[in-house]
Amino acid sequence: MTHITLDKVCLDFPVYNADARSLKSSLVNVATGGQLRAGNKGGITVRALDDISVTIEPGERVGLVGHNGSGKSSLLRVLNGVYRPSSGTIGIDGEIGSLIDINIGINPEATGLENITTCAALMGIPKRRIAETLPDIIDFSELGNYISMPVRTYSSGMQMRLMFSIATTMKPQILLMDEWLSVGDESFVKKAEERLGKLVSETDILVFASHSRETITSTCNRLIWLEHGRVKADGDVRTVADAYFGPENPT
Amino acid sequence: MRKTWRIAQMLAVQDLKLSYRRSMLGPFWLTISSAVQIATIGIVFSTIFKSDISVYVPYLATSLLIFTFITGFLNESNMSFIQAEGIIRQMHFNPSMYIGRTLIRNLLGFAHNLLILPVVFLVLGMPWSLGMLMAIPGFLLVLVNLWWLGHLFSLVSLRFRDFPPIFGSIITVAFYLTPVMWFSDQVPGGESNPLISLNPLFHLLSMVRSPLLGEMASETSWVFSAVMAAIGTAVVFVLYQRYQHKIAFWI
Repeated sequence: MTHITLDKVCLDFPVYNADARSLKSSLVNVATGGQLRAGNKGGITVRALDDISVTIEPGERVGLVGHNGSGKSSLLRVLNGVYRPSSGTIGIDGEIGSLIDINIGINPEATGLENITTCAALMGIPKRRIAETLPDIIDFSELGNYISMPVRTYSSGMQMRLMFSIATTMKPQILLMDEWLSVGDESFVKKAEERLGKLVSETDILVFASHSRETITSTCNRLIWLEHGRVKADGDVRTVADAYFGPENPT
Repeated sequence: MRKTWRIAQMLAVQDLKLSYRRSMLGPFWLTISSAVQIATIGIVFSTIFKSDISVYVPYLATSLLIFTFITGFLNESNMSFIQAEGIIRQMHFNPSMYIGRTLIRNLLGFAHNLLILPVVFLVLGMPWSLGMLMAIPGFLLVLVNLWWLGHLFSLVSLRFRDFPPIFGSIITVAFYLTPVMWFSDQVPGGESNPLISLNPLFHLLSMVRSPLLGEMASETSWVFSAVMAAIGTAVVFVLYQRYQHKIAFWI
């Protein structure tokens, strides 16, 4: 059964200055006993996540709120395996689809078609599914003949539509999303909303970081408020949203 | 595992395609530029060394193609992770995928270059023999070595960003220190000269070059390459056990 468990998860980021990244300085350090240049051995770490214990069951639509740097994106990246927790354990059942950055692997020199193949594969969309949905992707992105042109010739709106169309063909059991995907183009917004809504509704678990009260309250059924990498509040949307955003003004 | 290779292969093919997209001959430019290089060095140095063109040029062509492949791969493996920053920050893949991408890309380039050899051999009337097939196991042993070296250098370069330029200069010097343009019997002591007997690039080169030129690779070269492969693989295995989850932090 689809399921996420985090148990006392901490994530420490090492922060390197230019010196610590230099082999020459590091070797000089070894030779001089490391005493001459204080502060660059061992280095500084930043604790991005601090003692997070959370269990997410199927059917939950979890919103993550918190100020910039509170650990929302770090948490999403721990969930999709980019960062391994420094301590604590993490258990995930189910296939993960990540819409954290939909521009992953895009190559401006390659054509739209070529990018569909590579980007989709990088996002973990099976080959067969890409082949099946190729006409749909091309059609949905409204790129027409531009699909066989290099992506560098696209406007930013066109590139956005292409990547959105590719990313939304995934059918994961767990969906991770950093901010609701917005597709600037006026005419495109409505059908994009529909398509994304369908994707979200078909997943077992959604974990969704956002700053927007409106999107969160309309999408999520549980809210986690992160502050300085800790869970400050975890509960139903209304209570936590009121605590975080301030009480809703009924006017 | 299979998925990892498929993605590595896909990205490698895309790399190669894109670098030659806007030229008519595509990757065969590689072939042409290597051919010109071999012809030029061949004519100049066979005159300087006063050696027979039909002996010197096949030797040079074989040496240069193999040496360029080995060092080209090693140089590019320094960038395996650094180049893939965008992907590494967003998605988790087996780190070997990135080294595989670099290796496949270089193998494809090597395959294009390899077309030169039969032409040179035919034109200069080199004898063909079954012993040449020994180049295949030799090449496989080279690949095993490149595999661990690639893993080592990509990781070191990621952590210590001044490593790639340092390594680049070492390789440039190594080209002159290794019998590529010159014969090993032209230095005092021949192959027992420490300059040659302790030079890993010489042994790797010999594994493929000697059989192609109708000799057997020396037992020393086999042992050297095999021991190097075993120790190197073990070292890299331990290194990756310990540091592979740091890759996302170091990027």
